[in-house]
Amino acid sequence: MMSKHDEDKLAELSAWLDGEVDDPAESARLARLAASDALLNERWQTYHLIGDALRGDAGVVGRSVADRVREALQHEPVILAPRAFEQKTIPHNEPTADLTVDVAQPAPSVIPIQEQPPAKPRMMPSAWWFTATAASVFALSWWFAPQWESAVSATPVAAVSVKAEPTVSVRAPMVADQTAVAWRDTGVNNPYLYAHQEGAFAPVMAQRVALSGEGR
Amino acid sequence: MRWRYGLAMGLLWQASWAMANNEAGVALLEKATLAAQQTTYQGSYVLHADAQLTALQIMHHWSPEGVLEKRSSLEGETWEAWRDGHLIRLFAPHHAGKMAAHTALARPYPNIFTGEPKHILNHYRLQRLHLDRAAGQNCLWWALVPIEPNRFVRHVCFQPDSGMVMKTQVLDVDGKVLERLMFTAFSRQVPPPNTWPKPAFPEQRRFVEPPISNNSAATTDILTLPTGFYLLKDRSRTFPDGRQAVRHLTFSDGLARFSVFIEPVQPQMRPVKMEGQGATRLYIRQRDGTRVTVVGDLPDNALRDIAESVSAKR
Repeated sequence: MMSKHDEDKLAELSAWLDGEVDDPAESARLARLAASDALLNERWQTYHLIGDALRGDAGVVGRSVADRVREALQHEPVILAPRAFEQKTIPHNEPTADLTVDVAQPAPSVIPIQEQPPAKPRMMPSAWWFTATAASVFALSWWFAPQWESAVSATPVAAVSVKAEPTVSVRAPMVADQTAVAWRDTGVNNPYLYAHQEGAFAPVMAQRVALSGEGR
Repeated sequence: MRWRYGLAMGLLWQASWAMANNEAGVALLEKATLAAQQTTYQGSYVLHADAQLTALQIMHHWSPEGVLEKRSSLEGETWEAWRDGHLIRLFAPHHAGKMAAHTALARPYPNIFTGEPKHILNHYRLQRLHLDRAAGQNCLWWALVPIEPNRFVRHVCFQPDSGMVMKTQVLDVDGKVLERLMFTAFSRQVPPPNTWPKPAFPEQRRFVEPPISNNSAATTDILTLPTGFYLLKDRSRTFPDGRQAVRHLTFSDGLARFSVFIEPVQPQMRPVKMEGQGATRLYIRQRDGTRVTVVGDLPDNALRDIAESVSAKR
């Protein structure tokens, strides 16, 4: 059973992921919280998995979790009429320890399109509601997309399928992969990766767009 | 006679349609590049790769006199990276922070199109996807689907008015998302740079990086380049463990980028972690006393082919 505090945090995360937190400071705080808090971090990934699953993509957290989310989605009944939820203010400075994670529980999609009222933290609705919302949003995006598209580009471009080539898993036979470490730490041990990254620091000039920072 | 006329008109229509599409695509990519480089904005964004979530902040101030940019961490290791024209300075309380900054700076989000848009669209085809929202704003997803094999697919969500890249994903050929970056807060209101707080940590490192010329015809005869890639840099460098100079070549197709390191095998070489980061992969090939290492955001088989082609030509 999720505590009320956890529900509040997830409500904040939901609003944030829906792009409804307008205050940059508040959004930065939520980004910090999502990256550091175990529950929010896990849920953030779950939200994206649902979005990916709806789009037919697989998520970055691995097949097993993705499969569980898809499975959970398949077993969720779809309710097309969202019910009203109580709105409430959420304190921002509560402790975040002692949390449990339920990754299989579906959460809101990250692909809403309709304009929402100004940002307010929202209650975490049930998984049913999220599924219904995701389906509705998807349908609406399909309906409205052609009208809205003209703001971006004049004409749609033909769909192209990706030529799926078998990916070969390559590992150097002569190099020992000693201990598994988080990727944030590998830079020290991997001078090649480090040097490659450094190459991205230099601005690469597109010929028609000159960066005006030159010469400062 | 009539069917010939019809055929000719059909071909003409198809050609003009493709041209119009390409022009619209070029305009979209140019707009995104301009939005990332030559506008003023601030925001927080997250990097999601390898099941790790990293929260970052950017302040980008543009004026006709130049660009001043500050990136910083919002959690975990604390660091700040300041770019003032060609000068980049890393500030962090200790080494781990510097390394975290290094990783974050390697993704110059939202400035993801580093090459000539026309060149990029010779090798990727734009495909419209769906609407989304990010940081309180609408954006429209487009896929950049590689025309040739051995590249990753990119999904990019453009803000319609400005062209700003609000979200981006790198996907492998199976559609698995390897890496994603997205704004979680975005604003055009940026305080004047002279009011920005000074760096709170000691300076760990500074780079003076002149811009790399973007000549899509630049090439090399040392390896077989995948179609569309061109040489950005060819230089000699040394690694911190004091081994002898390593030749470091960098290539790009305007979107993906890879490095090739060529060096003689030496007994004191230390083991190297084979892990990449998100979409960045690594392949090492050692043969005939030469080690060839290829690092980049390309599929494994592409990196392998590149490394093998170096061996074949040496």
